[in-house]
Amino acid sequence: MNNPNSFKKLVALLITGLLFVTAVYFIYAYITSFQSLTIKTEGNSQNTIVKLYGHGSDEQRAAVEKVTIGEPIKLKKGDYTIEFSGSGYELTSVNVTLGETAETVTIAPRYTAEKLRRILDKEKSEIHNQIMQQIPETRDKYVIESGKLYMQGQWYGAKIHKKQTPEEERLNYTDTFRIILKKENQKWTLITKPPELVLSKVKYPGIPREVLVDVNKNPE
Amino acid sequence: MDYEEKRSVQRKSLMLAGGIILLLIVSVTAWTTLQRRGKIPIEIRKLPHDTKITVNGAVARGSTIYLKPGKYVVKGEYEGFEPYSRKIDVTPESEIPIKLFFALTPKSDEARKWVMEHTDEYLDFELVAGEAHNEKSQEVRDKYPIMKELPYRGDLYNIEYFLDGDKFKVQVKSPTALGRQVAIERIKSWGYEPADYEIEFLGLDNPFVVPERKADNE
Repeated sequence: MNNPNSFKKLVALLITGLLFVTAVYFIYAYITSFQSLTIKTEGNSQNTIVKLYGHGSDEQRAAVEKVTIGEPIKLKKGDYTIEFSGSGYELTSVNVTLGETAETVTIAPRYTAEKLRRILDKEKSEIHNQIMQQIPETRDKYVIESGKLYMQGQWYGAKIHKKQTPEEERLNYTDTFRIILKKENQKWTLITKPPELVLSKVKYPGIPREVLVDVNKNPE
Repeated sequence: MDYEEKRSVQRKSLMLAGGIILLLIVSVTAWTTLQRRGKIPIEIRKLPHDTKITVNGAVARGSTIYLKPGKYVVKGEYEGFEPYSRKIDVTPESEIPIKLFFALTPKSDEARKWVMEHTDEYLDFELVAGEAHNEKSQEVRDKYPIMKELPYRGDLYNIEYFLDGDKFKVQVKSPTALGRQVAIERIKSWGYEPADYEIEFLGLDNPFVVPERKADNE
């Protein structure tokens, strides 16, 4: 180490090494600050628009339009809102946080109430036939009421209660049971068996929670 | 080499050594930090202390291991003791650190003798494990917050709960339709959505469940 030049070289090498390690760390940290997001939709999503908004800086809040459904996009980790809209669809917003793992968000678009009512007018007869086939008591002893379609018209929920005269209804409080049917392959099928006072997502995890919550409400 | 030169060489050697050590520390710290990104810390306490811990068959060393989110089987083994396995589900939402306790049961005479000689350690272990169990119970209460309202006695109904492992259900006891409906409204008034829970209505004779259909449903 008597040669000052050798010492200077070694010091320079050390500093370079430190800078190199630091640079590698920051480059790796930058690369891993991005995460993959895939947006998918259930059912028909033609003529719809999906927008993506970031939370945070003005730049992040700018909308990313024309997100390609089903293809992963790389974004900075953080909070985002996905908005789904289109003619005949309710505006749907979903929040997602991009963290350490890639995220796939599946949006379940909903038709507007008006559109669902028009579809129900056409489907009601077939739905009631199926209910009467699968729950024979509804042919004469029980009444089907408050039937509604949900989502894109593939879910039907209704309440059934014992048929009574107005006088009997005034004197006897009776249980109101709930049922949900699903249309698959052009056929309506009763999903909730047997009819129950409260339908639970624990027992029926495949039924959208919002459908269960609405069907469980009291008759209007 | 005179005294001043020697001092100068010594200083330079020290600076060089210090620089190399610093570089090593920075490198190791950066590498460790990057390796642990996205992983959840799992603290492992074990008796005997030399218990071999494996995670999905691979040996894991140290009292804290770091795992990516996923399902794992963590096993503790030591000669003379019964092996013990735990299945864990590591998620980004897991309460960190996850704590695992392995107090192996002796099966050989030698192992029993060892346990007798280390009774104090086993007692301390049980104390710490007990605290962890209380934390776990709090986790269950956090998962099913309606538990804090129950049991509840109304005029026409009672609302209780049933918990067996991971199976949780709310039980409404009422002989009348009005009582059952009022109980559901009571649950909603607490801010809970009935659809989020499995609710069993005791005292309800469901007219849509007939004996042959009951057999089908079971």
